Amino acid sequence: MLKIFSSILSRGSKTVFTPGIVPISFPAQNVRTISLSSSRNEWEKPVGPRRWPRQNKKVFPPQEIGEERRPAFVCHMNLNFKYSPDKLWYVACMVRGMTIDEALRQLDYVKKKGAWIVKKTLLEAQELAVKEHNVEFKSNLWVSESFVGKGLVVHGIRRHARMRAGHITYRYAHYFVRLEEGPPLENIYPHKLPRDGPTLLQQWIEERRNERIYNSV
Amino acid sequence: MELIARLVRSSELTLRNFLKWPPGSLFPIRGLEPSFAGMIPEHAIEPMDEDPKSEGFVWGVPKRRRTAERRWSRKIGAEGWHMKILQPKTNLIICDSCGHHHEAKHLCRNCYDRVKAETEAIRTKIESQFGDNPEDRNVVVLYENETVGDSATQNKLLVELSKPRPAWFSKNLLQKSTAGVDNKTTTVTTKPPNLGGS
Repeated sequence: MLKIFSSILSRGSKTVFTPGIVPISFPAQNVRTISLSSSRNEWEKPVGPRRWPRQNKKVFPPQEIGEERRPAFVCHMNLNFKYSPDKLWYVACMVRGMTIDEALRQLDYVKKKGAWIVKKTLLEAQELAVKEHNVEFKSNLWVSESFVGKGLVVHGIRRHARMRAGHITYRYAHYFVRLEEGPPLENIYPHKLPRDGPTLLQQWIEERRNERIYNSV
Repeated sequence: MELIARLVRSSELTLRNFLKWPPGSLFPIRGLEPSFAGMIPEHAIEPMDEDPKSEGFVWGVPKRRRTAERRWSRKIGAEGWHMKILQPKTNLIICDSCGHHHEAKHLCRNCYDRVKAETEAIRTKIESQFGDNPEDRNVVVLYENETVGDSATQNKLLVELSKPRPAWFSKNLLQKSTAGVDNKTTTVTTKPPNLGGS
């Protein structure tokens, strides 16, 4: 019975009977086995985003003398938490371009579940930046990139009145953030530009200058 | 849209099968029904394919394509209407006593929480010491290394806490505004010395 049991579990394995005692099985190397014990070193296929944390491992060539110092950065992420990516997008957009302190302050006043998730991720990123990425002051950071990814999606059925069924999606999200050292860059996001008279006028003038005049010389 | 309708209808059928309702659909597979020729009239057998609920039923369907403006408004919002894009708050100030930030004209959350925690500690001590019976006496809270110096301590609840007094909780807070008022005061008019003239 033990022999049959082991052969069902691991196909292609050989069972060696020692007289009177327990049979021992030696699984073949290149055959896929269903491992019941965690002590075996089995390769597990990586799941989820992998490119983002690789940015941290980037090694740049030495800088030229006189070249402006490249600011330190950290890329951090939080994966597969139970929240809709569409709803998280609003929080990620708000935080873009802010200093880390301002972002942490503002997130306390956002009444969304995504707000505390993003705040937790930002605090982790800040800690990583100081410990591992050669950032001197933890306040001297700004959010240069902040975006959302679609995670796991679980489909379900729900009841409606009169024997009707409905479809439900349970959505999970990823959150990616890059913190850079130094003061934040000004006016990099068009939707965050100040909407006062002089700025709007300048934009209008730029648009008129970029206009194409048809049938002209 | 059609996909959703198909999905709903198919999930409806599965629900019906395992919930065994309505009772007419006990033989879902048409060809394998036992023949009740002549025993049950034709009109009584409810056919599975034609669902009376969906016959002539007008599903909710969009009449027109949503314009870009409407789609934009639903996602981003509009300034006079309902702004969905989150705006950062510009009315945040720093609390003088604890240093945490809070909205202007609102209580400081940190201060409120620590007062709440202290009140809870005092209340649990009162409950453990005096029980749930209502007492109509004034409370005197004593922290460690504190003694009651007042003369009128007879009709007061003494609550002793074995921890140091928090810096923000001064003894004056529980002092009555009418304390120290003495009806036997005398007034003496004095003139400031060395005024101009002799």
